[in-house]
Amino acid sequence: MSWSLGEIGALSTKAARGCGMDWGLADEAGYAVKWLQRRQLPGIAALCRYLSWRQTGDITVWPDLTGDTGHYCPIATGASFGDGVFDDEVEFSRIRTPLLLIPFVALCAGKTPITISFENVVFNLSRDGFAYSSNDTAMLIAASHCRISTKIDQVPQLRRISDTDLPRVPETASACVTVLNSFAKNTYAPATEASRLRGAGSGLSDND
Amino acid sequence: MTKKSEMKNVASGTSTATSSVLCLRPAEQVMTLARIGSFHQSRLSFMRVLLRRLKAENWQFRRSRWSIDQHGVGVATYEAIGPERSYTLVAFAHDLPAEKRSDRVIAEAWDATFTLHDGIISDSDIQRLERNVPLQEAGRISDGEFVLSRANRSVRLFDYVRDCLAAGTQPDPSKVEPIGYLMRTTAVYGSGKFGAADRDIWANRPEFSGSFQPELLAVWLIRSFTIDIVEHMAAAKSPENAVRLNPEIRRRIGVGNSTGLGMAPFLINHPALIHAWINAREMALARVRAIRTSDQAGLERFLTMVAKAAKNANEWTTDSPYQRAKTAGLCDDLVRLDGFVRTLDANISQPWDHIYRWGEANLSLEGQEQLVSLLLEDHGPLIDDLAASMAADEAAHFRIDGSMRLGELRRMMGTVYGWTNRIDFARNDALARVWYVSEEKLEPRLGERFEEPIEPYEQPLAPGRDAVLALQAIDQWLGQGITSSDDTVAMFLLKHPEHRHIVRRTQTVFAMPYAEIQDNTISAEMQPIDLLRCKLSFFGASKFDPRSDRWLRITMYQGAPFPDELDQLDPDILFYPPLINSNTTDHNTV
Repeated sequence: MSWSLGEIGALSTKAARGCGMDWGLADEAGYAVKWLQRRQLPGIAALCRYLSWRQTGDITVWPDLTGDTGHYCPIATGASFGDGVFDDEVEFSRIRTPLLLIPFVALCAGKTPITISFENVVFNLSRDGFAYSSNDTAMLIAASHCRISTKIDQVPQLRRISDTDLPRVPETASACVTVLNSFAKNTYAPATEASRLRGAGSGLSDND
Repeated sequence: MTKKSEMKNVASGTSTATSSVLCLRPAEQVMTLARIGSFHQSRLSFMRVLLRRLKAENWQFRRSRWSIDQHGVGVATYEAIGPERSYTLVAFAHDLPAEKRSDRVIAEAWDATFTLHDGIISDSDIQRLERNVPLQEAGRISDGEFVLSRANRSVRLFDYVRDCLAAGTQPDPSKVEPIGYLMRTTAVYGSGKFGAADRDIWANRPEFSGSFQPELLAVWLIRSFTIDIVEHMAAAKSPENAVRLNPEIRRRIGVGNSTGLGMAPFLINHPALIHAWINAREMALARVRAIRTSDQAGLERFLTMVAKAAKNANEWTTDSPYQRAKTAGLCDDLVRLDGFVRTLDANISQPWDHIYRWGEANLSLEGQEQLVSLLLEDHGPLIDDLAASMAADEAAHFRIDGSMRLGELRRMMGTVYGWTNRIDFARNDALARVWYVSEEKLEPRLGERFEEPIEPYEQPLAPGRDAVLALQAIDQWLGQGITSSDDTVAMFLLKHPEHRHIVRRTQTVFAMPYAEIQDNTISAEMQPIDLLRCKLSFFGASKFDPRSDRWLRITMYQGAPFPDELDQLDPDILFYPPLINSNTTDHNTV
């Protein structure tokens, strides 16, 4: 069993909304997970971990508010970075699940490549592709200081993605899918007998 | 950025036989719910685009498996073999107890279930699909499949046709015609749903250029299955006497579809695509209106189309008071249109523009939009190329331009959503409805905001209301004194993430005049079936039969050629019913 990228993107959006994100940011969460999974990076695991933590975690209000404690949301911070709120050279303390920040940094990697580093993970992003040095464990670090820069000493061999050869989200993601489904459920209205009839507009026989 | 007013009103001409400047109908005229809820199928409808392509490319078709027992249970496969690739419809036939037969999307068992497979299918793939496709939403398909669907037999027609054939007779055309199908699909899923291939896998294949082509290929092949299964059941009932369906009667059998609110949010959630669809249709109308001259033969052909449309309207039965009134108006409109055209001098300048303008002044919306479709019919070489533009790269519009000055966004939003000025969102009836998703079946629903506890579950499907709220926030921001219109959208969204979705939407739709429905989609008066009708007309559906304000039945491919006759018949001529005994003129063997 496997999932399409579209399915996982839509589920991610619903799960993020189910955890309280505004719709526009929930859409960004869906974008981020699809971007990562398209490159066979563990986007769904990252969002699963982040949203699970967010239920009880100490989160800063918004990316421009510096607090002594708490963590920055990678989706809100990433969306703001993509919008151009920050300079190309910027450092964030205590970004939660920093892997989720990368798709937004990629939006800004045009003519000038950008490097984003956290812990011992380094991602190089450019218009033509991406490269990284890491292992999956480090990539999914729970929280980290994070640095974004256009000063790149050495650009490693970039990986490019195929336009038509789309990866699937594999069965190993089933536990994450279950968790995201439980968050997505918060967006569904419990049914009542009245809503069954009225909401779908059916009182007539539909068996013709 | 090009000014919106320039883009929406003028486009370049296409040939010396047409006026050099084309006038497109303004979005404020086109994009009302009442008008898009009156659209009819046309040459640019996706079913017709598909059949034109299959015919032009000489696709071949064969029923490669038929393992169905006397109870109607088993599997069948239908292959569509094109110049570069092939596809297989896999049909699983089931023995469904009558009490389990329901058109509702929330059903759990069906008379038949289907998938469209990429390529010629193997026995092992059929075994895999047999464990999943009959379960529909509860099963999983793979990236080797593009479509998942199911259908139920028509209680009104299936057994009747089977019994006629078993008795060695043909069904009465007058019973077949108003129903128009033996089976109804209750869902046709594509684009990555339930494990199917992501759209990006096939989006660049030329055979699927446009919109919904894999889904409609599947439905067209399902139509063949519905005929085969009724003939099979007739033969099973009476092996000695059973006959096959007469080709003329067979052609009047399409595929039914029962569609509810699940389809409605699509039009709001895909603004770039909706613009592409409607822009193509409007561009086609503009090109035809710009034709400088016609002749008596051209007017005669148009009158034939009006007569066919009148026949179609007269055969359009519905219990819905809403649609009955509209259809009655349409019948009257077509009589008057016929009378008007007969008074015309064939030598007048821009005759089609003349007819359109008369229609705009004299016909109901239902009649006007039927007229638009009829005006396109005879001008394939002039407009058919527009079908290729009826798709959109929606991902290209996702990124917000955060560097835009807030004052500029304010101006854009005021332009795009200027129509909201006529709505008072302080009134309850302007906010009466809530779009939500039901926990029970994960389907979109419409509820009453002030009568049910559903507001916390509201989906973002009211762009007009959301734009008004965002404008208020922007005006408050700009009025603070410490901020200014030189502040950027990025700064605004940092503080107001609740407006992020409508800001993205505004930037997306600004250069796309037909992207946004200019009506309140949560008002007490809103008719959800208008949304369904619009989308289904672009598919190519006919005989819209609302069963309430929230779901309707339609017929797909009624009249169209079957795979075994596509090389002899012109599909475009057959999408309206044939006039009396008109084998030579209407079936137009080619």
